[in-house]
Amino acid sequence: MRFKKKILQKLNDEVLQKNLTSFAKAYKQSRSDAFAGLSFEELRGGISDLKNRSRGEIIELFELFRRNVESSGGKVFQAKRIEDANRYIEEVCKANKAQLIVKSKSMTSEETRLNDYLIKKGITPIESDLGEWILQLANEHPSHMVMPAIHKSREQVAELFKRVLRENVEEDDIEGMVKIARRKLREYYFAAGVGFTGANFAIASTGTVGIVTNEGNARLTTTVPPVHIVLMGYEKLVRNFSEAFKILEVLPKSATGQNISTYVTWIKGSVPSAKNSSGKKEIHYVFLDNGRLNYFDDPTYHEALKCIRCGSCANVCPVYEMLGGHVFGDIYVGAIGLVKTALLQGHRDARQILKLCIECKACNDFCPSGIELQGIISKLKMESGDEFGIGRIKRGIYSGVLAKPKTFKRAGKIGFILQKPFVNGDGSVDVPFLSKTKDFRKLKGVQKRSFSELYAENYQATREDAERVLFYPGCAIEFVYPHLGMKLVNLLNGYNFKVDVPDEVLCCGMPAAVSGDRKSFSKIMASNLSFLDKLKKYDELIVLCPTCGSCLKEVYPDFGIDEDISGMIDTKVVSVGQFMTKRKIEFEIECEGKVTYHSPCHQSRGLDYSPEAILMDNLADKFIPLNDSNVCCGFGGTYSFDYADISKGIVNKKYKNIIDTQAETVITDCPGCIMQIEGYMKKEGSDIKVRHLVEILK
Amino acid sequence: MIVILLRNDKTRMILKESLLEIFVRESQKVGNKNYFLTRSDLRGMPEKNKALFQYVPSLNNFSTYEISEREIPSAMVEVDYGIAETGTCVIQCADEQIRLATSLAETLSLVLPASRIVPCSYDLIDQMEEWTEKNNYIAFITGASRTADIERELAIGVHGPAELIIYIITDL
Repeated sequence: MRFKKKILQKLNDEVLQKNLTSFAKAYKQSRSDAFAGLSFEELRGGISDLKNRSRGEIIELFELFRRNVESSGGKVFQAKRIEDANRYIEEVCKANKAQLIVKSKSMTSEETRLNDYLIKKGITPIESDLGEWILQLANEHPSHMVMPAIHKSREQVAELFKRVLRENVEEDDIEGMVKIARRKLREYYFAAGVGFTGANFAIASTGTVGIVTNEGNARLTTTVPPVHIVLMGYEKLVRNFSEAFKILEVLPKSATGQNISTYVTWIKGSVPSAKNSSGKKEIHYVFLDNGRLNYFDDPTYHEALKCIRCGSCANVCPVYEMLGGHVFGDIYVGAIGLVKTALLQGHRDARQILKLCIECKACNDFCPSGIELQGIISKLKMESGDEFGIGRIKRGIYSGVLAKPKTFKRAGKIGFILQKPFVNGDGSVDVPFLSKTKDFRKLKGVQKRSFSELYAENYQATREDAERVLFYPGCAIEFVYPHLGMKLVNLLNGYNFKVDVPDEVLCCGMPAAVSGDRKSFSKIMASNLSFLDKLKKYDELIVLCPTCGSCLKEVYPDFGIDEDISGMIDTKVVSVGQFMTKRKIEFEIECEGKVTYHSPCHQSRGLDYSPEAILMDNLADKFIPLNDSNVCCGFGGTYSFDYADISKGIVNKKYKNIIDTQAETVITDCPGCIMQIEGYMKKEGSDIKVRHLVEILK
Repeated sequence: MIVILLRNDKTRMILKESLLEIFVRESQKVGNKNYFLTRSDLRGMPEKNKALFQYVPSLNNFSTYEISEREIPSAMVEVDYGIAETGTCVIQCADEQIRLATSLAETLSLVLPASRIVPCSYDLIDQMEEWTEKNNYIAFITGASRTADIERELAIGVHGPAELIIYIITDL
């Protein structure tokens, strides 16, 4: 099926939409309850540190683990490739004349496609985790790492049990379905010749594996059959119990919002087994490489090996929430799924799904191992762009227009003239040739007079003795929202600051960066460097578009700019609210009626700032907090054209949250968010106003 | 009573509850029944309430049950530790009968000596390292077997015990 068609199918899947929306909401609440009173930053800092291991260190832990298990009756196998792992497992089954193998949930065995392999070899694998078992019956694969069957409804499961198992159960009777599973699966534990599990921990100090489950299926899988095979990647190695417990402290909280999972099972070596003729369990440990060992020494990608497989990067991803893991991911899902697909399977498999990341950085905020997932995804997008190109039109625009300020300004003028026949009474533009599905917003058009023109006139009026600050307008302010830039200039003039702007820069380069266009991005960045040099003379660089700010601050350093300059940018880039706070300016807020605030991704997670507290102080009960305020609005620049259906779905959720506040005005801090939210609300016929923070400051 | 949870040599939390109170609160949160008994209460438990499989070394109480394939209605097993912070019972169970009984029983009763409750998992690090110097199997059990795999609706008893009862022995 074509990729775009697959996306549409998921967007139209009502069961999926309902399940994922309610899960996203419930997850955030239970997770935050579980972490209440603890410092998440401190905990994840600890995990990030302990998982920071070179290949040499991992191999050292592996050797220690191996010595410990071999001296306790276990066998260790190192599988370089997927086929090696599968063949070894097959051989163990055959040596034990096992026709049936009962499995506890293992994502690594999804990676090796073990079930398909075993079936071909005449061995029947049975998944014992309820979700995995349901999917096995349905002949599907997991769409979530922790809740594999989250895309299925109870009715669908009832139908499946009826069709495949010939078991009748009421379609609402989840308890009844669980009873059927208990009865059926219990037979398999006793019939199986081999029990198979993954592992959450391989503890080197004593050679112990730790397995975390809620259902208790791993306990039966590792107890009843005479043979036990453990399959895991090298990244599961930890030095000792102290490290394992640190991970265990956050894993269930991040995965399901539980304080601890119901069962945590620790197994050291061969234990008694009545079903084994020797009286002792035969136990095998299979360590899978499949390319991961090489990444331990990679400066960027080794981060991905810190993953503890909690699934939170999927749980908080607005795009995952629209699509589920069958599209947003491959074997592994969510943000880490995009990364692992690229790293373990290669760019050919990952190129389409990488583009689905809207770069909102929510995953970074929640990752309990502190993995900067979005940064890794951006880097992979660049690699993918290098390999497959980004398309001629985009390349032409980024390289031929955005990278050349004079051409860009001219293009703005031409745009203004060309759009004339399509401008509506309210100033919105009907973009010609835009397909109906992409036309879900009333887009504001290019303004007749650009910010730089308006500024050139106003500049004369500025007091010469004033302190100077530097303002970076960016393209949205320049062409579409010049009045916001002028408001800032006038506001700060009033507080005795003289606002300078760079002469020749228009674009920060973010559009090229998110599209994976390394060449154009480098060109644009180079054109910005000349003005950034002037930043020395200023204490702040003010942005009204946090995407520009976070691009300068977070993306530029990844492309090898001088440490002096990146350090300077890091301390000097501020949004207007940050500037006012930093300078201790006592401003007033001017706004009618009830107000709410949408927190832009690149401000809350790029500039680490939100003015919500200030608004609450100033507006008291006129300020209504917005539910999911810092969740993406779905704009993402060109994303909202490339994946209009996804973008629309995301902004619709934002819209519903805004409606719930009953506010008359939404304040935000980003022209992109304004374009998206205001455009969508106008199209929906709402008269709620959307304004930039700078507009209400006095 | 004030309990100080120590972690990584740093004081992280001071709780104004006893370990016992914390344990019971956390254990109840996940639906377990908790009872306080003395040794003699437990000994004097009516015959009909007694589990078919019993392993309670502190009371010298052993009763084995032929664990047939698939089924055992009830089991009572003494545990080695309780972890207050999560309401978890810790059982060293290399013995296969104990593993089978605790994984298969419809109703699982765990006997926890009150003096064996530690504040958090970090207090058991040395014990775990020591236990796993030899071949071993250690279970952390925090509740009945549960799943939320169908529409995230909680269902109990999917594989193992459908009910978990904890008898906290106050004089042990």
